[in-house]
Amino acid sequence: MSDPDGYEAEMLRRRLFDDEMSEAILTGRSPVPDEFAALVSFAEDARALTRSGVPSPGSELRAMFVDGIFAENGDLLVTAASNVHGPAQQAAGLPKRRSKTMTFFEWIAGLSVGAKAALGVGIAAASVTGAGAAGVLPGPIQDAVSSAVSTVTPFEFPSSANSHADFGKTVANDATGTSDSTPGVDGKSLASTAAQNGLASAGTTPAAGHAPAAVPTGAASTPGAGNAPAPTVPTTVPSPPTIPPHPGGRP
Amino acid sequence: MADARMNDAEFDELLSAAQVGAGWALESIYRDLAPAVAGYLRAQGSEQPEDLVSEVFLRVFRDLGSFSGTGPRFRSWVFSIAHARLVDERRRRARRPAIAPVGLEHAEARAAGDVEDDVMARLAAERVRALCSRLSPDQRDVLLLRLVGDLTVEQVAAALGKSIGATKALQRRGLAALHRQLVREGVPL
Repeated sequence: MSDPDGYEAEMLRRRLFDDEMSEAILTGRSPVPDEFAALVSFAEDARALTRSGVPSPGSELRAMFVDGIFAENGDLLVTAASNVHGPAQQAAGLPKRRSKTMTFFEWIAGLSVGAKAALGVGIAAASVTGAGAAGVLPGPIQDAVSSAVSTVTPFEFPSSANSHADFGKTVANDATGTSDSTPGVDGKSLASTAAQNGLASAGTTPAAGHAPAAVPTGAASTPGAGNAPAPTVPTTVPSPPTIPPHPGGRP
Repeated sequence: MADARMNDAEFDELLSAAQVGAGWALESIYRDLAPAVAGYLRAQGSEQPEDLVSEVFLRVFRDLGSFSGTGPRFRSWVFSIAHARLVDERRRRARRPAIAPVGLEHAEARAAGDVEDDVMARLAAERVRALCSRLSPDQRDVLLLRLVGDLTVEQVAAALGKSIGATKALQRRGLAALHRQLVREGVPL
């Protein structure tokens, strides 16, 4: 049989330190019976531990405060929630990552004024980032914008290397009909794209000063065009010849 | 957030700026929370509380992009990181935390005030730590997070990864144990 005094004492403690009394002692915001004066005093002294001033930050933190994180060492703030060193239930409740479907501009629009200001003039140059998003900037500038944006945001912009690689993909898609449901290469369209890419690259070389300002079009741009008369274009298109049916029933 | 006087909109703005790496926002968060984190680590017997505070905030700032939530949740999150760092430090030491006197740095960090006040504050702090050292680790964690971290029961539960019921039980037993000690010693703080 248990000690009745011990049992009663335990019950008394449970009754004395119920939620209301515990809150009153720990927060110091409500009156507490005199019998707990020593506990209240203990709680006050414990709270006073936070009043010793702001501890000196280490050198790495000081650098962050002065330069911000990106200027200091380029660390990426947006990391996977799985890296969070917090309780499991909290980490599980965090978003894994911003949706890639959200556009860069939606993301910028969602930032507060302070955050936008903190982004600095580099990204505030919205026309540059807009052009970067479209992938139409000259190679080195496109690469710089792409690199900067992918470093500080969850988004990826096209780089000049990507645009050349994408051109091959475009040709392949056009040939197989993936892009327009029509098999076969649209030579005129692809030639125009290739010329634009070439011009953009030409603008980045030492010979950039000699690059044409615009992509020439038409027959005059072909080699020897200056020495040959321009071909005449027939005004009517002849009808295709009639093909007789194959004897076997299938061509 | 950290600062209970900060409203939700102000906290959102501060967090957004900090998440894009703005130095002023990082410093503001540090100034708001570092004193409480340092107090918690000191009360827990950290040997190098100031170094540990820096470690805690470096981790907080590096993981900041993954945080989403309110100011109170942010405070709880920061203390969960502080607690994890404290456990790491204890593991490194591989021995029971020593009840070292509240560091001289604590007294030195105080604004140059009255010497008598400083001495009294040091004595009181040492006594807090001595009393807490006699609690079970779980009871000590809960009571110090509540008192020094200024967290609610719910926030403590989140920071320690415990249920609210278990946290309340630890809190009650911790208070009862402290009360017994104080009554036995018969010396008011």
